[in-house]
Amino acid sequence: MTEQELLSAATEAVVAANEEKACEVAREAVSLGLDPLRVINEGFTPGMREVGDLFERGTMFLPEVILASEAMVAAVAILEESLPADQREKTAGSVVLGTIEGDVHDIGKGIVATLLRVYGFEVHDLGRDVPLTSFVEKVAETGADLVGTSALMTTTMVGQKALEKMLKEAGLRDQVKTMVGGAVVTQYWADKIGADAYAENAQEAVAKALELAQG
Amino acid sequence: MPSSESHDTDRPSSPRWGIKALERAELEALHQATLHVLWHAGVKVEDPPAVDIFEAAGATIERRGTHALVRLPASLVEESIRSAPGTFTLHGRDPKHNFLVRPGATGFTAGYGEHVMVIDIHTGEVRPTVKQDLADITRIQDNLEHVSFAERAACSGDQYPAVQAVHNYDAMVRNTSKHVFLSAGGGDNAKAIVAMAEAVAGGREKLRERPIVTCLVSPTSPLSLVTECTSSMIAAIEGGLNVVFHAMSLSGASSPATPVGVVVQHNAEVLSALVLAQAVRKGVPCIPAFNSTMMDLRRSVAPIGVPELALHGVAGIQLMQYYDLPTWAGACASDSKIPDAQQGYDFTLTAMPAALVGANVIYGIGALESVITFDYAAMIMGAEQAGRIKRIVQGIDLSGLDEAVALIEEVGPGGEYITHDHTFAHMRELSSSSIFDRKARELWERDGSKSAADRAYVEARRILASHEPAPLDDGVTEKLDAILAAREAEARAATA
Ligand code: B12
Repeated sequence: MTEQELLSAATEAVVAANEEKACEVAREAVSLGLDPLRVINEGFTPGMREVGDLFERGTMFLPEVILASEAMVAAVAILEESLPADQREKTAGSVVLGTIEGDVHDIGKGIVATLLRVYGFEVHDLGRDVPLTSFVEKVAETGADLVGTSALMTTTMVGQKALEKMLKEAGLRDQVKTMVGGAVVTQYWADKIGADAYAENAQEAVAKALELAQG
Repeated sequence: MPSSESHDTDRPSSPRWGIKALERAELEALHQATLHVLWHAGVKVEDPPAVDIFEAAGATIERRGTHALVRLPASLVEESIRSAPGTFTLHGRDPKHNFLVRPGATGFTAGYGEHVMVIDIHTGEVRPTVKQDLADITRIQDNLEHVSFAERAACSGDQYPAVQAVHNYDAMVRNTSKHVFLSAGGGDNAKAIVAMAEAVAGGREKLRERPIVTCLVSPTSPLSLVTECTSSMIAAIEGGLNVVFHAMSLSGASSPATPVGVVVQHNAEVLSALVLAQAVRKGVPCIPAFNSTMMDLRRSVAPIGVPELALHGVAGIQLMQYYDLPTWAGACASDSKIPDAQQGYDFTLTAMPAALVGANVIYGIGALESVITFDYAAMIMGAEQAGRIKRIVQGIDLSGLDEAVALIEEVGPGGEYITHDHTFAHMRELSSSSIFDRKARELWERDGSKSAADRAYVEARRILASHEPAPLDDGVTEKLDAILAAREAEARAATA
């Protein structure tokens, strides 16, 4: 296999969500002595990008995206073994996530958590019906870059506003960005309460999270 | 248009058309599968008082910190099914609106739960709902012939969040004398709603004799009863109300990706709630609702106007009928953003099977956009469509067979029926239309070439401007104000 062939095989293995194949390609790259970073960046990452595109266009199913990312993670782990620690891929950022107290709607939040993980974030998912103080404590404890809250009810979205205030009072608001979402939440609401970002769906949530984590 | 007739679908004598999708042996297999799940997987219950009730009733409990895993033995489940009645009355504030729940009786209502957005009836703007919207929608429900009871179709979004549910009841009871369905958002609100209903009904005992409101609670899929659900349920039942178990899983996300798996899990969820309800008060009327839809795993949304909703509903309702339990179907809702062709197709896709399988309550009229947005035109058109669907379900009355044969013979080949006495006697039984257009094209053009939705908005505005719901008894509104104010003060103090 030429290097070019191997890079295409890596991309294809991720798009096909074939973990076995992806690992095989990674081991082959190691045995050929190829540059692991190049194989990650030009072989596996383009695969994941294509998966993201296919999902966005509605041709790929969410479970396939998750399997594809698992294939990618497994292959990258093999390649990284031959990299010095400081060159290993860093996480895209860390996020504390949960559904506001009084609200049990957690399916959308779960999808956001999954996609954030797919795109390399470290996610602390606090679950549903989460007391506001738990968000504050988790942010303090982990030093997370972002805190994302989900509210699907008019009765619980007020919790997102209260959290802004509590983060300020705890002196944490300057070091953490806030992101809000859920069916009843809008960009208008995010602006009104001073949240850093709003996203309509999980893909947009990832895009906004990447922006915030880099900025 | 409004009539004072009984709102039951069919006279007992008339035949009933329907779907028989599943055989008895298949229903028995689904039942056994459900019993397996309730014992081997169990149900997660959060609130200690609810766990204690399950334990006293004979469930096996494993306490695990923030919740308990409750396993239900088959004998307890089956005993609970037997103790819940299949026939009872949903009382209207005005008894002329009483609805007798029994096999074969179907009634429709508007709203698929509590919509948070509405297409403004005057401006057409899509905006968040406020208490006045719920009052308006309820007033129209009060007036519509084919709406048998009023479900809380919008949320009082401009009110203090913790007590929006209590404001919802306040808005509804002042605007309809039909039976009311709504959720309470926790035990304290449920108690306030019971107190308000007592004031309206004329006292505690009167409410127990004639519960005029039913509390909707939601098991959370998969297999969980959260505190809000069990505390609302317990307070409502103790206050004399009946309950609806409003589970709603999304196939592929919170339940299996196959209909058979959804039906078994959903059945387990509603039966777990039924066991708790019967343990709180043996014999309390419980209506299991079938609302499970699907997750679109390519778009990450929960569409409602889908064939899966009807498949899950038909199977679930047949199971309830096998148990002699009353039934509720989520239907009528659309994922369209406006009252357009898709909305009409989506409506009938699910409403027709629900009616044909004989659901006692069918809700969802007026629901758009994955049940987020409510629309008045969709409500008016949906109510008329509900009437047409109910006509089909009534079926053909074969007792007129001999008379019809004699008539055909008498009129003979080449004759006519328009002037015959038989036609005169039966012509009022033929269907008519109000919003749906049947006119000749010229007449339709002369009336402005309007769409059905345009005419429906006009009709909704007409009803709002002219319909007065039956008033509450003297002194009741003051009592409602006082109970509401006290509950709101209590909630504000608790969060301050
Ligand atoms: C399924 C459902 C339920 C299930 C929830 C199960 C579960 N484990 O989550 C059950 C049956 C338990 C339930 C219960 C109730 N529900 Co409900 N429910 C829904 C429904 C139909 C779908 C929600 C859903 O999962 N959608 C699919 C997911 C994928 O979408 P999503 O959550 O919006 O998430 C996406 C985006 O919003 C975004 N996102 C989400 N979170 C976040 C977070 C961040 C940080 C970001 C950036 C983005 C983001 O990305 C996600 C993926 O793309 C909605 C209506 C709707 N269409 O939203 C009503 C709805 C939210 N429920 C409602 C109501 C009223 C209730 C109940 C009171 C019962 C009732 N109907 O009377 C109880 C209340 C329970 C409680 N205290 O929380 C109302 C809300 C009313 C209000 N006042 O606000 C709605 C609008 C429906 C209605 N017409 O009644 N419900």
